[in-house]
Amino acid sequence: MTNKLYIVEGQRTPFCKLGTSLTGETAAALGISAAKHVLTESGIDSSLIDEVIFGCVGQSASEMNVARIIGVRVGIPDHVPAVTVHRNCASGLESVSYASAKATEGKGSIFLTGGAESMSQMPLIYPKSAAKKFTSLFKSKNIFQKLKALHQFRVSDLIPQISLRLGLDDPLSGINMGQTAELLAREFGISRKEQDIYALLSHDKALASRAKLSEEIGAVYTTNNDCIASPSGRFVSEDNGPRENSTVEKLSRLKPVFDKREGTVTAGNSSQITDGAAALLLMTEEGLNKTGAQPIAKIVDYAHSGCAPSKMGLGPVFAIDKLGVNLKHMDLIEINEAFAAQVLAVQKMAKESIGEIPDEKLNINGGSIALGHPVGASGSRIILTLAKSLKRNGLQRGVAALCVGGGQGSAIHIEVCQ
Amino acid sequence: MRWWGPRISDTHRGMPMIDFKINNGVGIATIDQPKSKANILNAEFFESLNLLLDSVEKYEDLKGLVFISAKPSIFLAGADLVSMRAKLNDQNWLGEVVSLGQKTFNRIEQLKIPTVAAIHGACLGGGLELALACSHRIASSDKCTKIGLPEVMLGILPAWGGTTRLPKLIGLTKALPAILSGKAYAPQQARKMGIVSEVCYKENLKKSAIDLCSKKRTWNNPCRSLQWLIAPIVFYFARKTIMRQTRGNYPAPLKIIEVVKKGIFIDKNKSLDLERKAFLNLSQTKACKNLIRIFFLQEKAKKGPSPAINTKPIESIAVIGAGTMGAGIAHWISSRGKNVLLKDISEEAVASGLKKIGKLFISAVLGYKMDRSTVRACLGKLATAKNNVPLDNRDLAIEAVVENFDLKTKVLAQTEESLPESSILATNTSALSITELGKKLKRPDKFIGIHFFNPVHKMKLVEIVVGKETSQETVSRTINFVQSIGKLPVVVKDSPGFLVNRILLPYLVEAIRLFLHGHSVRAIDNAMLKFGMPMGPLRLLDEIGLDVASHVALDLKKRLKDFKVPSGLDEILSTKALGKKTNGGFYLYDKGKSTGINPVFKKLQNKNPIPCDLAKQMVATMTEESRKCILEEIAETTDDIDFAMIMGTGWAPFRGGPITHARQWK
Repeated sequence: MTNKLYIVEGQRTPFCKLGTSLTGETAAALGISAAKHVLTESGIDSSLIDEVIFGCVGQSASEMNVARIIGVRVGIPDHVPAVTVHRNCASGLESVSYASAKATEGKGSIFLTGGAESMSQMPLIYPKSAAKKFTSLFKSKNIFQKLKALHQFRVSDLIPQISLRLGLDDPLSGINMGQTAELLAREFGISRKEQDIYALLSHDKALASRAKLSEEIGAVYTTNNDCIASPSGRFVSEDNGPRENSTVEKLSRLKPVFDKREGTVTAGNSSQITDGAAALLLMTEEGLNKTGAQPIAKIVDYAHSGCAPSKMGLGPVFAIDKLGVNLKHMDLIEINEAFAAQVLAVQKMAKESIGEIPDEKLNINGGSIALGHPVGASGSRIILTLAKSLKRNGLQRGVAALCVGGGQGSAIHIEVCQ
Repeated sequence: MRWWGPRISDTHRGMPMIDFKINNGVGIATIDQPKSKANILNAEFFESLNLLLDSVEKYEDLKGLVFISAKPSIFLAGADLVSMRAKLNDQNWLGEVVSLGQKTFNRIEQLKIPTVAAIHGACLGGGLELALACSHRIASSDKCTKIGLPEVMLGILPAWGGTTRLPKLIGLTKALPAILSGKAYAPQQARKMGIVSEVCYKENLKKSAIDLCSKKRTWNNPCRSLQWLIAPIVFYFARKTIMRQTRGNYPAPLKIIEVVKKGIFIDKNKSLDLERKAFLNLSQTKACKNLIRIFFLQEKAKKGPSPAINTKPIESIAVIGAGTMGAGIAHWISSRGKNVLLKDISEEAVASGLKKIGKLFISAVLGYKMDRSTVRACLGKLATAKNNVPLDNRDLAIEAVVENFDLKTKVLAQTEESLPESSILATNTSALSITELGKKLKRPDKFIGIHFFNPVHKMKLVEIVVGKETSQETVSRTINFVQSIGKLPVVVKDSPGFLVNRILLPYLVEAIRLFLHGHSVRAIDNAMLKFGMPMGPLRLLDEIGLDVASHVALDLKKRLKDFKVPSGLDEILSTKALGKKTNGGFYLYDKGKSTGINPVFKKLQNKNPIPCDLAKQMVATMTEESRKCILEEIAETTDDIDFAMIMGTGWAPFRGGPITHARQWK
């Protein structure tokens, strides 16, 4: 008996753009919704779970170790431990690879993994200058000291920094994520038009796959903003990212965001900023025997690889290379679409090194450009969608990979169970 | 610490009733009734207590005396009701018991050293009366700590000094509502009212109690001595409220007001005498006997016969259907900490069910019945599904879709498919036959009816309907489950209308008949309110909905031989005034509030009603139907019938239920 993990069940929330239907839900609430659907669909006795592992990038200060909150709230017994993992954009995949490593060590046979992210609820941060002044205000003991401390404040101190934007700046290379995509576009000679066409295709594929995608979506019953987060009586059951009636013409009118003068990367050919969560139930053979569950796919192997931070978009090539799979034998390939330019660069570089990534095998249900990229959740989503697509189409093998801010790539190889 | 004095013990195998030790010069009396979960004030207790007091009075160096309980969740649960009930007719015995308690508690009060009641767990009735005789009271902040004088609910009054001492301690305006309502207060509430002077963590209770011994007696608010100034007003309004609430049907509250009224102006011993006389007087009333009987029936229903089966307790439940009943059931079960899956056919249905559940939880939080984090945990555990999901880990599935035979059979068959063999399948129906519904099932022995009443969170009674094929094990497990969610089960035979509706419907129909004969809405409803029902029959019909009620009535007519429906019913329904939901039935409603009598039915009424005793006539129909239920063995005992009617419909409790009432008021 090997200690390889099998994907038994997976569900995700609908992915909804920043500031739309899911704004009111915290990352934990989204994770809870996805996890509950997984537990319900699988019918598993939750006390059999050995660990809860969730990825989350912008963890809120009020939900520290969000995996623990998800685990306890969905009714998994208190004795089951939980850990939140962070590999930036690949955190959702990291939760699976982390579980895989644990299973290999023999430390558990059933894992609830996934990723959860509320991009809408990422906090606003006071600048450092203000933080100092607040400290002296809190330390001051009498009214005079307090007034003195208050006197130090300037209007500029109170303008918050948006943590979401800070997160997209890469401190290692000194440029932001969009600029890394611009760099790849220049280096690989990818035109604005190529990017726009790719983006449009992503939307079209996602729209065409609506019905198929709904199989992996469990509705989120939204909550009121009251003391118990009571159900509001409304629900969200569809992704709101994919745009109907978009055209290359329309996309070409958008202005570049990251390089206003010479740039080619626009909001239209980048991934959307989105709220969402995905959850996967993983079991080893021992777990399968214990529960009698039927697996969807087997996790054959995974790999993480580093690369130059300024060219983080190429990460998937290095990761797939490290994974050592022959791309010719892969029936479907999921490359997370951080930017159209980035995916196209990966395709070009792969062709010259590790093997071709044919268009017809790539992201057949659309990708993050259409569906959105809740950073912590996307890794789990592409594994889920890859497994379900392989199964649905009667195919065998697939690989899913993401580029990771800070210069990394993560890839995972799965095989459908017959 | 050392042993001191004679080890106080009672006759039971040398096990001490009250264990006494000295800690830093303070005596600690630990009350621990042998071989019992609770501490009860019975004859042995008083014997041990008096022995203890004998010794304490002689011992001069003692700095204080602390009463504390060794039980995990009970300080003192009150008087020994079992022996009291047995000797309720023996006035001499009752008198002696009252005097013994009063004398003993007086001894505690007269001790020269400070005395402290360290209360953790239930401190009710006689328990609180003991605590009131102490110079200080301190309570643990634990959830199980409940403090109050519930005697009034049994139709009696606190006669071991409670009625006398509580007003003296906390003042008339706070004491009177406490004694009259019989409410058990949480520790913080009790502290605010002044019943206890301090609240601390249960782990620190003993230490804090010892510390209290070095304090002087509590400082009395000097304004309190002036309370006789406002006393007439307080008594006037108290009496008025009681008369409004009980319509003079309950003698105990009125007696309490009388005793307190006289008691605050006279010497304590005289007041205690009044208490004793009032107690003896009240104990001989029918109301008292009936209320005590209901108390015991309630205890029986709560604990019930614990069947010796080694099956897994029901912890995980699926509720199929998210309508009013489904949502109500899911809310209640989930609020008791169980895992619940709420299932319906669409996300819209699930979302609206969830919304109802959310509202119920919010009102529970606002009413301090549950705290936020508990509610969030419950909501977190509440799973939902809109299609067929495996029910492998569900011990019980309760189907609660609309009352339609074909739909129910379909849903039940589907649910049974995904349910493991050992699990129970239940239906929440108020009318359909369990045996018929179970006919197409593969495991009819595991199929049962669990009839919750609407609104689920308020109605404590649950009818467990046993079909022909239902196995005894299924019945026992279901009883255990219903008890575990804090509801009161009554087992009934599968029959038209089961028990409560079967008896209630003829009464409602009779009310309509009398109305059609020309009696006014007010006359009919007031007659039953005076009788002691919580709501008049015509107002109740408005609440239920006239269409729903007539549907049930016609169904009963079809299935029962001699069930009659008045001919004017169709005409009433044709007016489309269907009750509260249409803003008009027998009464008119505006935004859910009653605004007057609806004139629309006026023309259907006869002009000259034949005068008769309305209440008698309407009650007679229930009595008659109850008799039939006994003959047909619908319920297991007559007790069950009385109990079900009182708990399920609020049937005048002091009258003891339809059967007892018929026997007593022949």
